[in-house]
Amino acid sequence: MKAVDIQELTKFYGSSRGIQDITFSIEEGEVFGFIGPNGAGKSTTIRTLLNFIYPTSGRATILGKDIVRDSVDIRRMVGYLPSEVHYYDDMKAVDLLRYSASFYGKVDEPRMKKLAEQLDLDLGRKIEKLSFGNRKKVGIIQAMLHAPRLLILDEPTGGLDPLMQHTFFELLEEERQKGVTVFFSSHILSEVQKVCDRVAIIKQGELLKVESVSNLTRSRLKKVMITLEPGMSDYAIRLEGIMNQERDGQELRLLFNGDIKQLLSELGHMPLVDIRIEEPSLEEVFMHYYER
Amino acid sequence: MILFRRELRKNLKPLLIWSAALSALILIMMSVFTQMAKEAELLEQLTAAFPEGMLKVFGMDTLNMADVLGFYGVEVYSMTTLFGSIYAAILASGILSKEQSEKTIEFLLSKPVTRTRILTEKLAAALLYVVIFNLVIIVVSAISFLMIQSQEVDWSRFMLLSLAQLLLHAAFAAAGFFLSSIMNRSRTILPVSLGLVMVLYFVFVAANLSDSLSFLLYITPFHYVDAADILESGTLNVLSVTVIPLILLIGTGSAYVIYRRRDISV
Repeated sequence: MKAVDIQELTKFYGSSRGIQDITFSIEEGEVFGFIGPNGAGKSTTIRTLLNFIYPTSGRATILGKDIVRDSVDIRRMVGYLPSEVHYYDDMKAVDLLRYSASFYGKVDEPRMKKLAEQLDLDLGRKIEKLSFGNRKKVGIIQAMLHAPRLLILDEPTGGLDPLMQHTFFELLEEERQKGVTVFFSSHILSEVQKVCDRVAIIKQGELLKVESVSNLTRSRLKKVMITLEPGMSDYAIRLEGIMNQERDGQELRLLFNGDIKQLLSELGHMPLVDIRIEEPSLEEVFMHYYER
Repeated sequence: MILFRRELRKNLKPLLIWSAALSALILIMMSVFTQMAKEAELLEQLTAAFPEGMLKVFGMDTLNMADVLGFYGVEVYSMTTLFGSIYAAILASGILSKEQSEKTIEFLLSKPVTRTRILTEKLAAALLYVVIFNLVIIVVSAISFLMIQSQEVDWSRFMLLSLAQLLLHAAFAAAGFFLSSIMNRSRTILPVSLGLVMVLYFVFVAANLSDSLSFLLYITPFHYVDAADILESGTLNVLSVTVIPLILLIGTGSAYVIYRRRDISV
């Protein structure tokens, strides 16, 4: 059974596009990244999956359940962290967490305390007095407390300082080892690259590609940085497979996706003084998809 | 029951404040009556001092101000129906729309609760508080009557008034609830439902003042619970007991139909 299975999912708000013909699926136990710039449709997809909004067409299932018909069953198995965390101002953090947990049955107090400790959160504070980052921590505990089978995280690291982000990723790793599926939406590619098995790239409401992170970063796509001899700064290289060519003074930067032997033989008679060939970051891979 | 209990706790303070305020109003007005009843002439003078139109609005042309219930209908009931309607509208429209305006609805909808359950528990909490609020009015009024020993009160007519008032308040609660289920801009819901109460009250006043506007009486629920009619006839008329429950049913029913199907975004 797929953890998430989305088929041609489309959502229009009146005549304006939310998402269009999104199709992909997530295996159980997978940590799946969902990346794209702001406004690409990431949150729209998530809100449709949780049935806050109704799909215009298409269908989707989560852990075998239909997102519209079986929404309540789904929400029992899912932990959701919204990108902007808004809670009841009259509650303390601990009140909110107990209130949240009461919808699933009994409150797992030891787990709540343990998570709060790990994230260094004072549960006795009023929510309205908490900083943005601390509210996010309440949100993270709220999403994980009832031990869901699927975690849906919308921009989870926003507001967390680097140290907390590290702790957060450790928590995610713990969940992954328990077999929890994670659906991780972000516009920060390096963090997706760090934790995810596969990513879906979305742009302007449409799915560009679903790819494993290792394939994306270890594809034949290479980042080539060449330092040219002085006076040769207008030298251009023409070769099949060059995706992008940038020039910065003496330096020539290429994204190359062709035959590596051809590239090497071409480099052989180039007027260069230095060269570096690297794996491109996901960011660069993404920019390349984004520009195409 | 989680949501129901939470709403009861959250809305307790306003209930206490409104109940206390209206109790004070009732007791003060009725103590004025005790003073005035001693000098019957004074009451007649008071009545005569009002212009004829005003008398009609407050039912003073038909109600006997020297009678406890007559006085109650003019001076107290007219206030408790209006302020109680305002309370009911604020309570019921806020109970749903606050989740929207404070953006907590996203939290709530991610929990395993159906929208039907959200609506039912919130509506139940609002209606229970409207009932409690009305019980307070009834009890305090009854106490004030008991303190007036010079006159016997027609208790059955008083209960009719109280029943009419409860129906009216419940109808405005249903209207406020309906509004908050259909409107997306949650911050405008409170002024709109408050405005609804005020406009309908104004229509009631205006239609009573002017004969040429009297056809408008039928669109305002205040007309259906008019103290003058009820005290005079000793019954609720058929229209009153059908129109108001109808508003209640249609208001809450369509709230369910719409809220279950609409997109909820923050």
